[in-house]
Amino acid sequence: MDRRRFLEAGFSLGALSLAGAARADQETYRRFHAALAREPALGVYADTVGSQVGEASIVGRIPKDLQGSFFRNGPGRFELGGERYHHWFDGDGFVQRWTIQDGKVRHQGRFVETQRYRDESAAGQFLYPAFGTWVARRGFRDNDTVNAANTNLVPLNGRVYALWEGGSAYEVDPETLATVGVKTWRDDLRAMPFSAHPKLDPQGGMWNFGAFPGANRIALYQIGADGAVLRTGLIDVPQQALVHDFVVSSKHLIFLVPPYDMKGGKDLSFAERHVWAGSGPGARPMRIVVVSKDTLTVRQVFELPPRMVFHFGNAWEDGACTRFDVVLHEGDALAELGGLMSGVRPDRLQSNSEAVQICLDYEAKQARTSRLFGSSEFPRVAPQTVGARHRRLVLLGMGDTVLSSVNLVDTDSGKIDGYRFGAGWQVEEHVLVPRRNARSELDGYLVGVAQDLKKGVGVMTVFDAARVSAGPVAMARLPYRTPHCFHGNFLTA
Amino acid sequence: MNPIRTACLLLTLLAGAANAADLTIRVQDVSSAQGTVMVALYDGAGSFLRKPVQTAQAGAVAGSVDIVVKGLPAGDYGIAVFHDANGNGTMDRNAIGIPVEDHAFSNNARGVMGPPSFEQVKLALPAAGATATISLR
Repeated sequence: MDRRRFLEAGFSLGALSLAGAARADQETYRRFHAALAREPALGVYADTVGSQVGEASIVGRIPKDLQGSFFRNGPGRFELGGERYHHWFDGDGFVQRWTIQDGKVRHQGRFVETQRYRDESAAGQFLYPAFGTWVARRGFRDNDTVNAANTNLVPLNGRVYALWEGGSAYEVDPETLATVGVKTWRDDLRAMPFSAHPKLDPQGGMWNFGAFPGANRIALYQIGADGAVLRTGLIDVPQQALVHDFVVSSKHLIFLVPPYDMKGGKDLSFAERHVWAGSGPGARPMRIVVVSKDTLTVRQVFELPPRMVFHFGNAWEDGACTRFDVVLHEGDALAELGGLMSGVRPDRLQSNSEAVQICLDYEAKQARTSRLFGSSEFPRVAPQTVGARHRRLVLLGMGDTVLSSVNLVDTDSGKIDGYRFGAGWQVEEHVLVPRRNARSELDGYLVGVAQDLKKGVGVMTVFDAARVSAGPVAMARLPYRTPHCFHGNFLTA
Repeated sequence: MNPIRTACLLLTLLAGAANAADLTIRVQDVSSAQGTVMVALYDGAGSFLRKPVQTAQAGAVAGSVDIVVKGLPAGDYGIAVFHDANGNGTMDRNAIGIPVEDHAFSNNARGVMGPPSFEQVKLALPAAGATATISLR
């Protein structure tokens, strides 16, 4: 081969590999839009541009004693410059507020103006790595440069925080949702991971943690009602990968560590670096790491068969045991969720998840599991019960292809008070909103959002918590689709 | 004294003097007047962020700080800067190892999941001297 032909061969190979790398995101874009044309219901995962504001039309009647703001957050921007992210967790945070006042409901939503959102908007293309999509067009300072602020929206002490998990909280204005900026709880905590699932103490303040996949340690934070850091801790967790949520009792902080190996190597996203280690001959168990609140050190580690975990309900001390509820997934649920971005629904989630109560017996060194509910997600409990004895667990139940029912599970008897929205609906997280001085977990409302897939609009739903099966007492319909949220919280006025 | 060795030493000194260049490092976007602005110079990929050829510092001033390093041999250098705002002499990191004090590199280069490479930060210092402007933002 002469020199010129050698060079040409080299160039064309280079061009080929470059085109391949660029096509990956364009291919996801193409596949999603082809799937969307066939199945308009996938619009739930479509890209959102700009802000939203609108009045809802009410079907039924909003109860007089339900007044306040429902703050929610989820990924809104998945596409830029003809490319589309590979994973549902990658999109930029679009924060929403449903304001309920005197029987009327107003909705507003806007993007959190993170540094990533601003830089990439200005550039007209994705620049930085996202959780499930490797992009490296521009170098960056630290994890807060790539903060997506897309997972939860938490009111605390008059302020509101948009939470991700790999970096700092982003503060937003409670009224306008305009971005205030990165929240640094204390100078030495700058750029620390801060989970999207803090547990708000009914007495004020909150517990939270921070975990980076592969860091092999989890940071612990106790924050006072005034926003001041009360205590911090650091525990060693070998072979630690994604730890998304935790649960808090009066005495303990409890983490479930699913069995993943963190693959090394450049040009891989965090999601791609997670290799499921829960099957085959070398399968590892799922670990339960129990931390004592008084010392912030590990008290005991339990093992259960390998499962993937995202979300918990609540934990409480039952004599010498700790009980808590959690949704367990079989297999690599993290990777399966990735398919949504190219229009492929994860049918495994349908059959292979269950909500369980786990009882930790410290003396016997055993974790015992009892089933509460089948395929489900988005567990929540009444806010006044966090860390204490609870008797009801909210769960969204899986329908044929999407979450389509809302259920209030009696964790003592196993009885279920549930409502099926039926075909044409996709249900999002629902939260319990207690009446003032509520006497029980049923003394209040169950408030959430459901997507009307036929009309392509977002609907806020209100149930009487004591009679969920009777159906919603009110539905507040918007004239537009709202981006699908992950999590939110209701702040009573 | 060995005459050959003396000659060599002289030559080295003369060569050094002939090529001695001044490098002005203009550090911009210093967030406060607290503490010290620290710079480290590296002359190769092998020693980058490991063994500086020269370090220098100046009291922090909100805004811009000039630090001049004199008498450097002409050549390629990479510069790392950090604002030691609490004056404890080290670049503080958080509990999982991420730097929490403002820092930057020559060419305002940034790495991806880590510091930039020497190739990214490298700048040529001619015998006539040069000014490198680096932003701590």
